[in-house]
Amino acid sequence: MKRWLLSDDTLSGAAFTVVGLAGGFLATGYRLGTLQRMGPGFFPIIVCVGLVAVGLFLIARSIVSGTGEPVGIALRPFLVVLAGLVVFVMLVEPLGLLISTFLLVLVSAGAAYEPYRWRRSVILAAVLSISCIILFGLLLGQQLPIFGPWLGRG
Amino acid sequence: MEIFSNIALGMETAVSPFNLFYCLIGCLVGTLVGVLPGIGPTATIALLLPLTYQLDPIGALIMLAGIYYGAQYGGSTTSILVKLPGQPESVVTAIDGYEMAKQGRGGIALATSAYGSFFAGTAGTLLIAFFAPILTEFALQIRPADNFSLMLLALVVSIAVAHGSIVKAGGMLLLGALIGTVGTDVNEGMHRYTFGIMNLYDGVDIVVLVMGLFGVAETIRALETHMSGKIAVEKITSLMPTKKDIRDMANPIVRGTGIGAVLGLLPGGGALLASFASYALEKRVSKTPEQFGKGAIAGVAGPESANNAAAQTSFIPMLTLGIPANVVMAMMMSVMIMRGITPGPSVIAEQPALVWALVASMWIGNAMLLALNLPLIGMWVKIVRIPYELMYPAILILCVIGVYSLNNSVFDLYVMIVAGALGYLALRLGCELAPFVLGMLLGPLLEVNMQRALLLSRGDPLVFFQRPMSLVCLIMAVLILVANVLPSVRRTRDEVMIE
Repeated sequence: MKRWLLSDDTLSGAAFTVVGLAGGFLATGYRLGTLQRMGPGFFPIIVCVGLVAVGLFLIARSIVSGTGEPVGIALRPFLVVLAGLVVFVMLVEPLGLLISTFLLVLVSAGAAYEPYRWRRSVILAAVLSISCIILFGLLLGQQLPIFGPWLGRG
Repeated sequence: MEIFSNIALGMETAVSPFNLFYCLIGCLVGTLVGVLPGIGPTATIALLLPLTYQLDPIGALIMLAGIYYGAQYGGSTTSILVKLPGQPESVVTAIDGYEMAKQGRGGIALATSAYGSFFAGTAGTLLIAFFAPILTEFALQIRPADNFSLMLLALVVSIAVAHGSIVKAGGMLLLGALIGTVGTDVNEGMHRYTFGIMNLYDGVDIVVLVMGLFGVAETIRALETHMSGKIAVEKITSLMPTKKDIRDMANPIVRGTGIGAVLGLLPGGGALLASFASYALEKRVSKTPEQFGKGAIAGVAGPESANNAAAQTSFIPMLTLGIPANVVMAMMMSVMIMRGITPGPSVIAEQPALVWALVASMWIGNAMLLALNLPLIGMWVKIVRIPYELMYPAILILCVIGVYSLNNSVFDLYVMIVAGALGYLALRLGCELAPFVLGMLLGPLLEVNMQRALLLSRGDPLVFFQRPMSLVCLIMAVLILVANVLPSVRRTRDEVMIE
């Protein structure tokens, strides 16, 4: 594997180029208009041309000068935090605020603990979800139900 | 004198018991969240936005301004005591501030920062009261072509001051501008990039994205480094500067305030630049430059005053021209728009009480910070010591509840998660997030002004070069771009940034 291929410059350049191409392609479906009466497609086309230019420049620079840095992603916090958030979003309407915040903390606590620490996480989840209910549910009049419809309340 | 009647009008509104209370709460909560390592003012404002939803517009803005100053002050506290600056603006403070803390002079560094910020805040408030009406007169004569070039200049400055690669910052800015076009086109009602999803017809909510980018993405990034372990906080002994300390800090504070006040006016964000410029200046004029980096009090006093003055004057372009100077101003602006107030020259004429109350409460907020934060320093230190592993789940809760309560929409929550994921990947690829947000906010304004200018000129693009103000802005934008591409300038810029 060539070193430049997975560098941050090449990857970000590729991302800009792809988004620019896709956005530009979609924008051709919007009326372009004239300079005097710019249509809805005019501005997006300019932006997308710019994006492709920036993207290609980054890729070219990366190949020519090889100054790009290798990319390191901390997979554990990334996946665990996102998983916690997805769990919350999927469950918040059916189960209500209390249980979904409890689960959000329980899951996302895994981002910092390796191996996972059950006791600490459960205690932290309980404390945070209850204080969240007190703060947002009772004091600030938050719209979300504390207990959702799946638990028998509306 | 108009300026005094304006300030009087503002004071009258700002010192109502409720507004004072909102200001106080804002300052306290802002500092509380701001001292948490890894959370900057932008994230703080985004996280605390839900607190203001139920207030009237004046109260909401006053509280947000308080949160902003509190967060800035809190950020300085962490950078001095634990060398974990929560925002780029206080990176410079960390150099000498942390050295002072190691020598047991942390309390004095904090006091210096508080006095400097208060002085800068006072000067900044007076400047706003003085210049805002003049600029408003001027702003009323601005035509669409001028507005377009002014915004373009703002965007160019924002990528020039971004740390890291300028090309990538430019890419992020364009990406933001593209996301800004999502939704129903204002002129023809055409749906752009909505993919038939109803929730996207009104566009993507900028506050939701900011929560994703500065709440979720920054949390994931912080988790890489503060995985575990205790944070060592230097002990604080005395808070009282000696006579010599006061002599040493006086001039840097005045110079820093001057630099900050001027650079803060720059559309595109001057606070960061101001703190670096002030540090460089103090090092140059100092009789003992070798002290810098080893706990020089001027190295704290100058940059802290500079970034506070800049934070203050950056309200001017937002209030008078409707151009946000940084992401925090972008947030303030979107809060105003949410409340049906469009920042720009007409706001000062139509809602003088709101604008002047905001200006007056800035000064009150600074005074409160000075009065409260030094006595409360013990409490802030305790908060700094809370391990991050106990902290970040609470931040995530604030993110989801904040986003949900915005529009009561689960769709927004998914948008936030996607923004968080992509934001983290962007950070790992060395792409800054701030230009994205500014591009997203200014992109649609840029488009509208371009359309109007070209309509008025009957399609003649030369209109951008014929109006003097527009021409000046474009020339400045080009000069800044060229200057940053030239290898010699770039090297100095990189050196300053690294320093």
